[in-house]
Formats: sequence, C-alpha cells, structure tokens
Amino acid sequence: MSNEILIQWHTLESKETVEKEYRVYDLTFKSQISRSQLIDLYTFNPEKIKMEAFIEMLQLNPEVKTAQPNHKVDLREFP
Amino acid sequence: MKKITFVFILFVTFLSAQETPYVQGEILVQLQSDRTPDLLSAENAAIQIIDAEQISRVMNIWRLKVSTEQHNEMSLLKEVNKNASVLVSQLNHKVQLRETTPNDPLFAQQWQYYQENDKDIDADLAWDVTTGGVNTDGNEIVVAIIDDGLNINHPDIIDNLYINTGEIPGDGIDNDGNGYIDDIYGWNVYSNSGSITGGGHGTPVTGIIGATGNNEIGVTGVNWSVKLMPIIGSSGNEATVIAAYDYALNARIKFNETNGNEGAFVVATNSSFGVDFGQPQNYPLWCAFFDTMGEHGILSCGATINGNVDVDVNGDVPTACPSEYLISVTNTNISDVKVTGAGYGLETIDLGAPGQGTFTTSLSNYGGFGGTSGATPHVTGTIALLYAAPCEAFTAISKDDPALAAMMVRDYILDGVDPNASLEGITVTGGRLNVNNAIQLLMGDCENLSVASTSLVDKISLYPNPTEGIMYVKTPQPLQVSKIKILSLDGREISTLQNSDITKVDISTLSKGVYILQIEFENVKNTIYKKIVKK
Repeated sequence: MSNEILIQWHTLESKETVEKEYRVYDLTFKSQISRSQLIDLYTFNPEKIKMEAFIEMLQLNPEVKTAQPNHKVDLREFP
Repeated sequence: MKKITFVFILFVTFLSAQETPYVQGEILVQLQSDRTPDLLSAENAAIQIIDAEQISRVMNIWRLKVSTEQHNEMSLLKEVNKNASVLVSQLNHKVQLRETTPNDPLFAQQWQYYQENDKDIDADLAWDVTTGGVNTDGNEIVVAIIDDGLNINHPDIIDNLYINTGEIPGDGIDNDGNGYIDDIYGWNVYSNSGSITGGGHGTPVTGIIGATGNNEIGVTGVNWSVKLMPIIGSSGNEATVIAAYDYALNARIKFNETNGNEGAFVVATNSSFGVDFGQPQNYPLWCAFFDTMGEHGILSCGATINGNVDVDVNGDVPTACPSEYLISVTNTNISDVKVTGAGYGLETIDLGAPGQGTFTTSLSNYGGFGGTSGATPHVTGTIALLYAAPCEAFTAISKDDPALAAMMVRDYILDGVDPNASLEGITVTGGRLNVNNAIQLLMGDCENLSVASTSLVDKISLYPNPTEGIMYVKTPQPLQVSKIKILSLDGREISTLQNSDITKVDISTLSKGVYILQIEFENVKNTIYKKIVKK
C-alpha cells in the first residue's frame, strides 16, 4: 500500500492538530484501526513526499507514538 | 478395618459395573497380615479356591481363582466377607489404559491426534483430563480465528460457534455497545460488518481448533467443545490484520473489566498468515499488538513461512516478532519429521506441530489440510484446552492475573513438547507439540499453583482495622479461610477460630493493642500473617 500509513497516537487530543500540520502532504484519515491502542489508518500523496521520509518525519513528532507503512499481508496458503 | 469394596483409580479407568466385564472365576481379597487364603475354604465350604496368588505382600492382597459352579462371583464375595480375616474383597475388574476417543466417524483419519506408533500429539490422553469448553468457573472459552472467513453452517462447526448474546441480529444497532454493529458470531473487517462468509482456508483452520467432537459427525478438533470466534481479516494489508486483532482484544478487555459479564473470554488468537521475509522492526504495531493482547490474557499463535527458511536470519512476520505472548509454529508430517518446505529458527520458531496432511473440516465437507497454516491451529487449540483443565487455582489466576495465566499456558506447551530430532537445534524447544504433556504439566502444578498464587493471598483484606469488635475477613475467590489464630506480638497464641469458611473475627474481648492474625486456608497452602489493632 504505497500511500497508506498507520499512525499510533499517544493521545487522541492532538490528533487534529497533527493532521492539519501534514495537510500539505494530503494526509487524510481513512479509518480507525484500533480503538484501544489509538491506531488510525491514513493516506497521503506519495508524489509530494516519499514514504520513508514521511514516516521519519512523523516519528519525530512528539504526538505520534508509532508510524509505519501499511504493509501487505498474505495467508499462509496451503502449499 | 471396615470391609469395603473399592476401586483403584490410577491412570486407568474401569467401565461402569453394568458394562465392565470382570475376570470370570476370580476375586481379589485383602487379608489380615498373618492370614492366608486357605482359611477361607477351611471355614466356609461354599468357597472353593482353585488357585491363589499373592499380588501384594505388603498389603497381603491375593488373587483367588475360585470355582463358580455353585456360586457366582458376587455370591462368593458375600461368603468371603463373612470371614473376619477379610479386610477387603472385590471382583477382579478388567482394566484399560485411559484413552478417550470421540465417536466421530472420520476420527481414524485424524492421525495427528493418535497413531499406533505414537507419532502424534497425544490428544486422546489429554481428553481424559478435559475435552474443552468451559473453565472451572463455567466461563465459555473463546478462540479468535483471524482468517479468510468460515462456513458457519458446517455441521461440525455450527455447535461450537461463538455467539454474542448481547447483540440482536440484523437490527442495525450496536445493542451491546461494543463498537460493532450486529457482530453475532465475530467480525468481518473487510465489510465492516458481522457478515461471516467464505472460509476456504478458515474452515479447516477452525476445524482443527474446535470441530465439534463426539457428535457422531465427521471429525473432531483439538477441543471437542469451545467457542469459535471468526474474524475475517487475514490478508490484504496490515491495517486489516490489526483491526482484526483489535476485535478480539476489545472482547477480552470487556470480559476482564466486567468480571465475565460482558465481552468474551478470548484466550487465544490464530494467525495462519503473514509476510514472508518480513523484518519485525518494520512492523512495530503488529508485533506490539501481541504484547498488548498478552497483557490482557490472550496468547497468540503464528504460522511461519511455508519455505525451508531460517527465520532467525531471513525474517518473517509475525513469527519473528519478539513478543513472549506469541508462539511461532512450524510444520511436521505424519512421520513426525519437519516438512522441508517449512520455516525454522533456533531463536524465533518455538515448536513444530502436525500440519502437512492433517485431516479436518473443509469448506463444505472434510479433507486434508496442511502447511504451517494447518500446524498452527493445533497449538492454538491446545491453549484453549488448557484453560478448560479442572484446576480451580489456575482459573483463579486467569481471572486475577490474565497475563500470568497466558505465560503459564505458553510455558506448559513449550515445556511439554516431545523431543524431535528434525526440530532439534533449529527451533526454540527442539520438539513437537504434545497436548497431553502440556495438560499434565498444568495438572501436576495445580496444587502448587495454589501456593504460588500469592497475588490472591495478597488481596485479603481485614476491615475495619482498627476495630473495637467485629473484624471482617474478605478473600478473593477461590480462597477460603479455614483457620485463624490470634497471636500476641511475641507470637503467643491467644485464641483460635476454625471453620470451613471464616468471614469475621470477634476481637471485642481482647485488650487494646496490636495483635497478629495467623490465617490459614482451606484450598491454599500459604499461611499469612496480618497485623491488627484493637481499639
């Protein structure tokens, strides 16, 4: 998922502020992933910033606990 | 000594009296220490002994071959009991090794549970202890199966389906307020609904964990009875997977917070999916989720890569995630050998379990399954089975300290593996799952668990303290106070209360001052001391 990232927040209070902060990269809330662990799924515009750079930037933000790409996952198909 | 007829209970079982054939023409007698069987015939002509063999010198027990021409064995026992030298007499019952097997017609094809050559997980022996379902408090044990779906109408699955009784089907309302609308059986992350469909992969995985056993239909799972919670969300992307785990986690958190009144007693998740060569450091949220679930009492099992790959070196997600609450599983075959095309890792892959060619439910019928996807649910099912062990102390720990209980179950499973040459040196335990060993370790520890359950003992409270008169003793379940001694500060005994369940102590007659209560328990070996003050 080249334009999807997962963000885990320390608290939800500053979430809107952070979202506005990165609006320049078209950071857009997509869905809540974990209510108890405060994890949300976002999209952004990879033409404006590379995934690695954006993750690094988010990780430096004190309001963000963890940020990572939304990796692909597969069933362990019966071979 | 009173004459009695008794039954030996070891690891053998006797069928009930009506069904149990005894050895015809034989009885067992225990005589007073200085007596021999010939006196029985000498004193009673009805007893005609053909042969006598002493089978316990210490207890002076004899096996007597007797004539039954005139009296059958039961009549002979009555005659024998008339003799004052006879301490005990009984029939010589036929005995079988205890091996509980279900009546499911396709059970014989489920070699993973039982093989003549013992290259199996000894499920039949574990089922002597429990076949699953509920813990000693009666809580339904739930396993969350994160997969591609489930055929919820499969005849061997339907009776073991988890049902969220707090939700009214199809009304479009989140009746139980858990954040999920119409989640009757589980959750579908893709459709964000309670619609459970599909299951080409999930139905066999689920059947291994808990196809209904002993129902005269098809096959059985590791658990004959258990509650199966399907969560659809095993592939696609990581967000989906985490959202799937979150459903199970929320259910368990609710259960813990409401003392079992709401939510679900989810004890395990099964993950027969992953990212080949994934590096855990790139998956911090997923890996951390195992810790979070574990802290709330959920163990997780992950299927490693279906390839002959050293996961320690090449990575895999989730099975290289470092969480203590994750059990990583590789795949063995009917010959009890690791399948070549299955991952391994001395530091990452905990154990092997039967996968290749195991027989279980399929989407619409029954068939063979395999891969690490087939191996892993055997371990997941074992987790659930252990929670059903008849050990009250363990149940108490699972309520009082869910994370500790999860770690204990993990250790019982890993400590109980059968050593296996094909896994030695390339997995953490060097062994293959043995369900019976795991449950025997738990049961063997059961009494000690009470002793070890210091966290329970620590929760005893005395109130009011100080007091002038009655002091109440509040104990967490399942502790029961059986004896309380009131001691002076120099250890001198002032008085003793002894009862089956002491809940209060009257100290009104004591002089003002500080005393020590020495508290003993009915069902825990600990003795604790509490300081009290008489006003």
